[in-house]
Amino acid sequence: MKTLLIALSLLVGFSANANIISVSVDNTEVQVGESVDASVVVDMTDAFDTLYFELEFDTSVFEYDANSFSSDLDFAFIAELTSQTYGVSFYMLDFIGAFPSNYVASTFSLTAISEGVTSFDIVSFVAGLGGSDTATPISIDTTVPTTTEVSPAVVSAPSAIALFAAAVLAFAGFRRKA
Amino acid sequence: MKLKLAAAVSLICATNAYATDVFINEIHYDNSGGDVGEFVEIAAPLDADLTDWAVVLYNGSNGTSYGEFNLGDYRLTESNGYGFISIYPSSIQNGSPDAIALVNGAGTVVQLLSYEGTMTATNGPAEGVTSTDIGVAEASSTDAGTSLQLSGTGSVYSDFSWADSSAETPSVMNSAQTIGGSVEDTPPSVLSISPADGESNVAVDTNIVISFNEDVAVSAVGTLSCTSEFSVPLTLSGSGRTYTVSPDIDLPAADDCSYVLQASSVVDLDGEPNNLLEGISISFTVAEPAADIDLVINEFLSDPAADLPGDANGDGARNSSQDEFVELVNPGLEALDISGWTISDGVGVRHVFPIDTLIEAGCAVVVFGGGEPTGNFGGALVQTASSGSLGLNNGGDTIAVDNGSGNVTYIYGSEGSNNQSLTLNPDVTGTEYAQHSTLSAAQGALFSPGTKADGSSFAGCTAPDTAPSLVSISPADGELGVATDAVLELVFSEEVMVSQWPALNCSVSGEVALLGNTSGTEFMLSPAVPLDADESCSFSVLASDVTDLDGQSDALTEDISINFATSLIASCPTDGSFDLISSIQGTGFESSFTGTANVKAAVTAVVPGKKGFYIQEELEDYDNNPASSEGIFVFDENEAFIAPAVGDVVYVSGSVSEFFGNTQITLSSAPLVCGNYTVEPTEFSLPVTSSADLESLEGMFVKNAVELTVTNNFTLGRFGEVTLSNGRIFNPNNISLPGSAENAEIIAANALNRILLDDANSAQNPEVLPYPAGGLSANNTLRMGYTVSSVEGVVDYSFSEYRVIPTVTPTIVETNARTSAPDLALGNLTVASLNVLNYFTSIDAGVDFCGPSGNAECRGADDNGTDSNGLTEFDRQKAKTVAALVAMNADIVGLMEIENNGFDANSTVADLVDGVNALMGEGTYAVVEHDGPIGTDAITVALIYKPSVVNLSGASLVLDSSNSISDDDGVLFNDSKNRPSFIQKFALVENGEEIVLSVNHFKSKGSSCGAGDDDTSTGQGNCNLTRTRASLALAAFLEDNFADTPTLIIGDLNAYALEDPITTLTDASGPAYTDLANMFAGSEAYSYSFNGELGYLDHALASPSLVDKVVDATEWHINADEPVVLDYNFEFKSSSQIDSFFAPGPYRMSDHDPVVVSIMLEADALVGDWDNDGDVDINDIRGFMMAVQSRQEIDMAYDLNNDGVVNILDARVLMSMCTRTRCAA
Repeated sequence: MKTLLIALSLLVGFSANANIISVSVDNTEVQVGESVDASVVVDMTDAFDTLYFELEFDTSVFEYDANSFSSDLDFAFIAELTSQTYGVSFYMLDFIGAFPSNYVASTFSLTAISEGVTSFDIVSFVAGLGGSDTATPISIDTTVPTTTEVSPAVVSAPSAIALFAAAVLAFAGFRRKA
Repeated sequence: MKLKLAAAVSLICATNAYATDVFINEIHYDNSGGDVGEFVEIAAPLDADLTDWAVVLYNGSNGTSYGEFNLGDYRLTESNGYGFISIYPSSIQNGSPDAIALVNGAGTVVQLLSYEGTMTATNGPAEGVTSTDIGVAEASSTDAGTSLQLSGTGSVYSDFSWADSSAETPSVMNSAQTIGGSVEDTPPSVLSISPADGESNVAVDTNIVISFNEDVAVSAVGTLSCTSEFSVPLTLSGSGRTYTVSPDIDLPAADDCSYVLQASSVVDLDGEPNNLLEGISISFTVAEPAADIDLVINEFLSDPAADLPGDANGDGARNSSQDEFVELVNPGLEALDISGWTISDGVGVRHVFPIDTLIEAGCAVVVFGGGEPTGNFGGALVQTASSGSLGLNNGGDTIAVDNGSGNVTYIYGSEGSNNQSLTLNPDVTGTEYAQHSTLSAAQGALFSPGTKADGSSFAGCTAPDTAPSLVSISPADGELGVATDAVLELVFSEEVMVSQWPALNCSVSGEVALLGNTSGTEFMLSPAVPLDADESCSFSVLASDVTDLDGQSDALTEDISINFATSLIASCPTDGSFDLISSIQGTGFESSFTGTANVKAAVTAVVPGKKGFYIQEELEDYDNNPASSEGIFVFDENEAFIAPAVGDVVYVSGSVSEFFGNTQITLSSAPLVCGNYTVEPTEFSLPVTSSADLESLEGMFVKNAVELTVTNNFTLGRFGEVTLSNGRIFNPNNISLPGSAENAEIIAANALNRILLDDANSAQNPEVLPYPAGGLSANNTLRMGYTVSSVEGVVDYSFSEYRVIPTVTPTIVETNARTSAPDLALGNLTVASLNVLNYFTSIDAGVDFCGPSGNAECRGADDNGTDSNGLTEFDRQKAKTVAALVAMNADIVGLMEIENNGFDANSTVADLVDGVNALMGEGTYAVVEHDGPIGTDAITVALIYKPSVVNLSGASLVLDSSNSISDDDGVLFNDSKNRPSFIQKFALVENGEEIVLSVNHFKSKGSSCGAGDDDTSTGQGNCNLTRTRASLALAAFLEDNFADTPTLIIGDLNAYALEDPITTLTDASGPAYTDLANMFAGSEAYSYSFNGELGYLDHALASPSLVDKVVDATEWHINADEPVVLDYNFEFKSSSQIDSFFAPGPYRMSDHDPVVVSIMLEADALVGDWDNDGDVDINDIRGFMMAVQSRQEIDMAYDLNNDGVVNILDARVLMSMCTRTRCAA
């Protein structure tokens, strides 16, 4: 069986009284064909009725399982997570809005489809509270990083073996010269 | 026995056509001259409720109704205890036949009475009903002020009988009538029966029609026995006073037949039943079978030539109808009885040969259209058409000779229109017809009624042996300037013999013997010696010295006696002792030459219409000064001299004068021919640098060096002339600001860029209009914009215009051809503006009764009778107007100059819409209604529209003085001068998009509005201020009421494109309307021509909110370019021109061109409608978000929160824009 190695660092960096978004996965090492569960959590200090984020990852490595999506925000008029070429994108729109709180905006499964290494980066995080004519953007604490990288990389079995063998041979060679 | 009649009560539900007490009581439809005071009178009990009753007029030619009048709109007038209503339609047709229906409130036909025959209605309430002929008629000879009236005593229609014309009694009881009395119950009797007893040539399919004097019931069909068919099966039909017995089979040809109906089979219906006093018994002879017709249509004339050459019937006057004839020849070996036979044209029977009309074998009969045929006509029978005319159309018709069971028919086409007859070639035995004058035997004669083409009698005719007469003689009695070597020429009516010609008796030469033949019809007598100059001679022949050679010897009808004088000039000068034309003309506009001029020059043109000819110096005699002319007109004031020929070098003598600015020599002696010389034309161009350029060519032979354009044809019909220019010329105020320097330059340039093309005929309303080639007609028009590639002739000056009198037919090219419809790129709405040139259904007969006040002149069509097709002026105007509207096919049409009599079903505009709908389908157009007339003028503006394309959006509005804005000088919109503006908002059916139409007709430039109002300096004309203030008021009114709606101002604003009233509306800092004519056609746009200058008074002005939606605009040139003489009017036209100048198409239906605008009215793109399905809903939000999520580039129009980026926050705004609750899809 091929072995996938996944490394994921969880970003959870915040400052007080800021609207914060974070992403996590339940497993940093998986094999091709296995899944990881990802969660995107928003900790909102402002009320909001509009929420949007894009989560970038290597879509040649993971594939979004559309049936796996759930959200604390599913009470909203629209709360949808869709697959994109760069990863996934979530948005929520509601006529009434949500109180300031901590919400799991999205949980979903990703299936490993090939070996590799990817990071999970939150980009274009937008939140707001709408009105009749304009939507008021909600500021996000920009001091908080929204992306992270994990290592080691996911390695497919033959390649890992080959690399391992090469490293062993090199190391051995070095040793022989010495 | 006396029968007390029922009391007069209302018969609202009357169904018996003859038992009604509401009935047609009096009719007037025709009289001598133009029909006047035509009316229908209805009689009814005073308490009759005539609400919803109607009188409907029916056209007998096609069975359709042409007018309907609701009796509820009238009030009964009491006369002798009974009620009467008189209805005055604009026109009641003149029969043969036509009908009038009386329809009750339930829509049931109470009466359908016709005159001059019977007809069956094909539409309307009487559809399928066959009329009853009232049996009396009016004619073109009937006195005006008379009418056909019921007479007698009684209470219901059947109690009365129709009487011939007598003094009219509209709205009162007829003079020979008593309603409400009692009548005697007498037995019925037969008024008429057809065929008549003893009649011959009865058609094989004849019916027997019996008319009784009162309503009867017929219980048996009777018996009909013929020679070879003892008992012919019969069918009886009819009711009331008329019954028809129809044989079930054709009657045997040539049989003798007898019909019998017993008196007991007929019983009357009033009082006690009474039978006929005696039975009916008639005998008649059935016509010979068709194969037995042996008759040849040998010659006919449909187009008599103008003036006396067209006097075919020899009565001394040419008449386009009376001189028509048909000549029939019996080629058989037996005499032919044609009694009862008929001659018909394409319309109907024109002549019934009277009883005892017998054509001898080999002889002929000639039927003229009318007049008093005078002459022997080769011994042929001569008759005139029993109907009053033959009605042969010049452009083609049918001639049918019918004997009741068969016919001989000939159909001809446009070859009938050549001022001469068509005759079989050879006579009788020929198989094709030829123009009479083309036959060599005819020797140029235009016709030969009663004789063969060579004038001789047909073999079977015996010409009476009449005395010979002198047909012509030259020199004519009293002729002056006769050449000294002249030959006397005499022509007689037949071959004669002269015992000896007497000598001339001259004042100087004494007796001069005449040498020539002594027998024949034409004689050329030469004086034995030349006569002296300036002497008088006489020539006298006793009648007894000239005798004919046929039959008994007859002497000339009268003595011959003439006197003449010889020329003053005896010989041509052989040296230079004559005056040069250049010295006579000089270099100024008028000649300073005094005394008698003696000139030797070459003839370049002979113009009989001007009584003279033009001469020009031979090249060697030019003075080589281009400022002086080398040509001059020579005037033969009394037409005393024989005109020379073109190319003759003549020696003329006479006085020099200026005739209204044209230098001429008035002959005092006959011109003497001295030789020959061909003058080469001098080239001329337009524009000239000054009028002196043309003066220097006065009298000279010229040709054009540049292509010229027809720039004015206004007087083509009246004077036969058109104006030419180099290219088209435009009104200065249409293409430059009035009063500007550029404007002044255009005025000057236009004046130097024109010359008239004359027709060489000084007569008004000439019968023949030579331009274009072939002669002007409705289908051979001469439009402005046609080009003239070649014109060659002499220059003349008269009526303050330089002109070219052509010596050869100019070459005219159709470079501005008619189009069958406007050339327009289409949108989803088409709007047109059309001035309909005083379209009035009310036709006055001299009394002004039109307009809201009932005292204005009824403009437009006049009561001038009918053309040969039975069409009145109004019929023709309507046909042309309807044709234009149909061809434009606009969705909304603004009309100007339509009779101001409201907008309901009885209005003129409704009548016009009915006419259009009759061709395009019922309901195609509707009228934008308004309560009553608008304003006080006799004419108004109006709007019509297609309900299938647009709906009315709100009520129509009127801008007049009552609701106009004002300033210190009063209201800006003066409705005592401008016609009130009529405004309606429409909504497109397909998408609800709205547009406002304002149709206008501002005060004209004609009459003065007073100092300060009239523009006297910049050419904007009278009432310029009135129009300009109206523009301001209109713009303000539209802004106040329709600021948010795209608006189109249309109509005749009586101002050219750059005049104040228009620039007021197009002012970019003001109303900022866009001139669509200019936008799409630029400086070449025009809809109107005045004095040859083009421009447009008819406008389409788009508001700023509309202009981007306009697809195209054009002015359809069906009127401005066309000769005015091609309009519907009869005035200034001969009877043949009334026909040939009219066609029922749109061309010259008015004096203004219609303006047609196409518009694309689409809903503005709905903001947020991402999927373009016309709404904003969750689908649009999802679609938008998909684009955001997939990082597509999105139009910044979706930056709905205006934060400079397009993202989900804009989607949140979009949610607030949803067109349904909670963005439901």
